Amino acid sequence: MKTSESTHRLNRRRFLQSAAGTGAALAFAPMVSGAKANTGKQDVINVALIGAGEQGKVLMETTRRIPNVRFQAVCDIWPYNRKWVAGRLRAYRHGHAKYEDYREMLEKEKGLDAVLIASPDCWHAEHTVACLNAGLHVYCEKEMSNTLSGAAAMVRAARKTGKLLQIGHQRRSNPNYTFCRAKLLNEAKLLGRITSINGQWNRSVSAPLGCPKKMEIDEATLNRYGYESMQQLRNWRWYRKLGGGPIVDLGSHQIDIYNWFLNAHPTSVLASGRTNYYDKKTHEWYDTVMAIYEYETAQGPVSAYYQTISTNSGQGYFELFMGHEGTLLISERATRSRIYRETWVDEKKWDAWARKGYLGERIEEEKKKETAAESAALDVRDSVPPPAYRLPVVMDKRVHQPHLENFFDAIRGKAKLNCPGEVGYETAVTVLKVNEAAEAGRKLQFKPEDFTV
Amino acid sequence: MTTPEMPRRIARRRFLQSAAGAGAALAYTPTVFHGASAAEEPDPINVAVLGAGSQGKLLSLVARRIPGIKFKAVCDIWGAYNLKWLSRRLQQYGHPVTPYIDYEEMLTQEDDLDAVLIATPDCWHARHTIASLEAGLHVYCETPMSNTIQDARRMVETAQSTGRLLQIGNQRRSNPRYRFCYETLLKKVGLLGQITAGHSQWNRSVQPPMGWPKRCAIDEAILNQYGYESMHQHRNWRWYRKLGGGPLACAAIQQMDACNWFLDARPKSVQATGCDQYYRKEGYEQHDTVMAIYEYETSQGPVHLSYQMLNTNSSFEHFESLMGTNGTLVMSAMSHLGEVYREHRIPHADWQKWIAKGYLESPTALKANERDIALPMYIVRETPPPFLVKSLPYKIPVQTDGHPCRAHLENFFHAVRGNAQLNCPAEIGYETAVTVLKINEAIETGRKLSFRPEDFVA
Repeated sequence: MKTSESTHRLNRRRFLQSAAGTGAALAFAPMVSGAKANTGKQDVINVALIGAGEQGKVLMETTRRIPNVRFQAVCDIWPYNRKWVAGRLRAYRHGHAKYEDYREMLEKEKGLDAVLIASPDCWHAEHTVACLNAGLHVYCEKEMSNTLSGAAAMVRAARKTGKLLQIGHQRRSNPNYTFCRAKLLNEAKLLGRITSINGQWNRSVSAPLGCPKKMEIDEATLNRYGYESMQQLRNWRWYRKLGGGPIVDLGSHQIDIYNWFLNAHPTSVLASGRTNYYDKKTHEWYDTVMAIYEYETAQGPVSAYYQTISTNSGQGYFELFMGHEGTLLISERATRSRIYRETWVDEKKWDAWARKGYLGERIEEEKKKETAAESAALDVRDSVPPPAYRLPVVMDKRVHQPHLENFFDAIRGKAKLNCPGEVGYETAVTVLKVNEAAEAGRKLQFKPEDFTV
Repeated sequence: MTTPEMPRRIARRRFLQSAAGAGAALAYTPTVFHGASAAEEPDPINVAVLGAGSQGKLLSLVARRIPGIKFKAVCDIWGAYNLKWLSRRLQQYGHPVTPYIDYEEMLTQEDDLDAVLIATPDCWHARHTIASLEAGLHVYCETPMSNTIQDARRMVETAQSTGRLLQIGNQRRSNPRYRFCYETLLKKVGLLGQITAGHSQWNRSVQPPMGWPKRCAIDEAILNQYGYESMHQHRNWRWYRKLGGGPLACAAIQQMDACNWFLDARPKSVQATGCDQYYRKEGYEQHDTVMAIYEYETSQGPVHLSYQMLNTNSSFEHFESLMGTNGTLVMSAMSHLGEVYREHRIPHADWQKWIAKGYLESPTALKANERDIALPMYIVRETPPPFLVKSLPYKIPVQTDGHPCRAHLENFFHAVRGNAQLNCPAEIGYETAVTVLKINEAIETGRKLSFRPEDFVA
């Protein structure tokens, strides 16, 4: 779709380098932290937000702190949400035009460069494809789509239009994660051979999201956008036709890191998913999912476990990479992150990395009670708990900020996207298969070609 | 098989009540700690240990401290090393033990034994147990009771037909901390709310193969006679398919037994993956990495349990956790692990009453440097994880005294005297063997395998 607006936009952005063209030649650019010397007015990127729910609000609150990015409009089918965000944007002295219909917004708003999409998963493909075709760059929240055909259409639209499509797997831009991957795993190879992974996102029991009195959307509008009720709109993540359930909402972020850190795609997955606690009428997707992936990496096979539980928050969320020489515990919640040395590995070897700045301070291990030490000495199957080190990197921004910055830097031609549509697609293939495997009750295989569009 | 020795043994033990008969009427007897002064020294129980490897040594050295236990014999095919080491050690402690290479000879020669502790490789458990039961002895057999379901069933049948006691070494069943958690925290208080999930694991570092002093090697003819191809295979029997259930069975049976027990249920299905590549260079055959997912249907509702065993990384060692809508229980045979977490949404005051009753100990305060830095904004849908915010772990007020296997041995000896019921009789050991050995089958097929209720009955 070549609209007159899109031509106009392209002219307006003649000063912005064509990112898709030149970005490829650039080496990976480290996170650019906000302040730049050259803040000429022509550098400003004009954005709109589609989907002003919880995630949209987070993206807005983070983006408005990034210099030279200016909101122009917000779109949401629920007046309550779009008024709330528009009110904040006005207070922040950003543009704050409000739209219910994204098509109307794309038609009327002049001068947009990019769109941030945080609508329900089932709308991602339609919103993204329309925005790309309108000549806009797109930052789309994960899961990029609840169907692989939707995800593939997004990748194709990005290729066809030459516009940028960043998928919101924001850990890909998090300096904690990029440091661990580049330095600890790829360079120092501190973990030795990675043999297994654990990851989880556990949450407490929570009541369904409600709706303030008299704020309901009328039924005709709800139905027009694919929702049967206000309850369904507010809790869309739990409905089969609207989202993918907790494994997709939460697991996707973390399983993406499995693929990224291992530099591989899984060869198989098996899973169990059931609704152990909630009412199946309001929670169509599984409240408890456990899955096991198998990978074949250059180093050897890896078994990778993942669980998400929506009835208990035990141990929160983390990814744990386990190798024969060490363990990396990493979490978006940075203070949790640790690196453990297997006790048999020479301390001096790790001290050398610590001196180079690859490892942070050593954490004094808790002294075991005497009885435990005694039993450990007697029981041949015990091993001593490993010494722990902190990560030397401090991430002092909101968790989405580096990923959004990477997107805006890429628009300016100063960086490559850290999670382009193709990578988002690989992750969608990896994660959506869990629901299929839970249904099938057997191990499902991946073929290498499954991961490409 | 009634041997000529049998009547003699029974006569000698006329003072020991027939446990199988009398025990049933008794309520559960809590574990007796050290206690018993010399004046009230109980009737001696004459014991032999069959299998003097690391586990046999452990059982013997723990059992020899229990009042009234007298070791009379040690049997192990490794005469030059294990047999010699443990016999001498027990003799030093005043036990008049006779060493044997061959268990049949021991059973024939020793005419006043009451009980046998069996800690041989898995593939020998059935033969050793059945022969001992048929010789009129009570048996404490290490877990896993066997590496095959068929053999485990024969063990149950023989215990039933001989009327002798057969305790399987799933020692958590007697561990006072586990019993407290089960009886008080789970059954009486329902502390966790509705249990919906759990995770258990046994993770160990990379281990080099077990070696042996060259001058002490067993000669090949004897090795072959007992089913081993080499000294390497004998020393590392857990890794060979025909000799045992692998490191998986060794670890998982103890832990899944505790899970079945705590949930008052047996699983409905299992799926699993296994990997055997890391140690292939050593000639090993068993999986070094196993991950499994069980589905249960309990009286409270459905439950998912995951199980993991690693032999290449020791992260978080070994524990069993159960997760409910109100809290989380983390248990381990290691006494420094074992705590309860309150879900954030449950008010602190709700649990204060359990502290007042002595069911829980207050959480200890976090050190300043452990406090989490509050992020400016939680990302959507997050509930603060309990370990970071207000819900610090509550401690379990019951400690395990001595080695975790001690209470289980004591329960066995009490049962031999007719003063207790076995905490893990053969029938329960069988249920657990069925639960865990199915993992290997699930790995092979790559499918979700279902259990029928009758699968758990020998």
